[in-house]
Amino acid sequence: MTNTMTDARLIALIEAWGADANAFPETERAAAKALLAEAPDRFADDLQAARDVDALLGGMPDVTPSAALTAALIDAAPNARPQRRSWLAAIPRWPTVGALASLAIGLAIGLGTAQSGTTATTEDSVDTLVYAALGFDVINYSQETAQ
Amino acid sequence: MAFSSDLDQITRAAAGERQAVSALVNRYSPGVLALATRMLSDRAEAEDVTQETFIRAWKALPNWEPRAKFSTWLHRVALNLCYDRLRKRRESTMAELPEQVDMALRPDDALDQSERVKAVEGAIAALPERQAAALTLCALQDHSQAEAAEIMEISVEALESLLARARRTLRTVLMERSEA
Repeated sequence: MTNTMTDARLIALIEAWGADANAFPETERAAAKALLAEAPDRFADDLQAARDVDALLGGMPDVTPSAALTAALIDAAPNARPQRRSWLAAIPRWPTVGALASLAIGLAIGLGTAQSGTTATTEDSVDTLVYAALGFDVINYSQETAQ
Repeated sequence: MAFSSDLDQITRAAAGERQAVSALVNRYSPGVLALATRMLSDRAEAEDVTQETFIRAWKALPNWEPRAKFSTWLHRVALNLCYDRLRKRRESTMAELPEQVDMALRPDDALDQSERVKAVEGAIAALPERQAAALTLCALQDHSQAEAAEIMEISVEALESLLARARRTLRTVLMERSEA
């Protein structure tokens, strides 16, 4: 928008935004004020007509919501949603800790056993057991094998 | 009120925080109710529109995207609900002969403020709906020109044209007849 203001444009502004130049669009406000100050009589009738309407509109009372309406609007809002719980969160904690501890102990024992299970002693006793189950006398069988 | 403050309160209201919900209601319900009251000239209907507007707002909050100010969006919803009601009203009274109401302010009305208010309310409600909306948003509420235009989804130039016509009609209806 330019800084030049014509009479016709100023009258259009008064008709739309009222007699108070502060209500005019910001881009045209300064130019409009300058023209009004330069020739106030030329726009007196337009300003008076606008002031009449401004006075009518300015006398309108505020509209205030009743307490009942305010309460209804607040009540219509969604309530605080419970935080979504995962299936893990649904499991009670102490039994979980107990189960995990048992698992850890079991693993520790199991690992220890596996390490010692690689010794010759264990292999011998397993062999003895297998031969006995098959009906061999392990000592005689060993001697015969040696001969 | 700052845009960021709105966003913060919208987020908390969406999570169901009552304090944020109350703050939004207290800040915006007077404007929405005033707009609906001026547009419909019926307090009960205006309250219905206000409730419907906020119900829509609560539904929209969880997915709220700040493309527009919350206030602008809220007033736009309210205005469209008013347009719908006015359209239905027109359709239902189409068959009836329109009643000619003399809304001119008489000299003895000059001191009676309530009569004056009634006459102005009637004259605004009798305006074409877009003119009534422009006048209400700009002259009776504190919306900036840009915000009023955004609520109405028109340009500021179009808003200015609607305002000029509305004010001219108002003056003709309310003043010139009483001067005659």
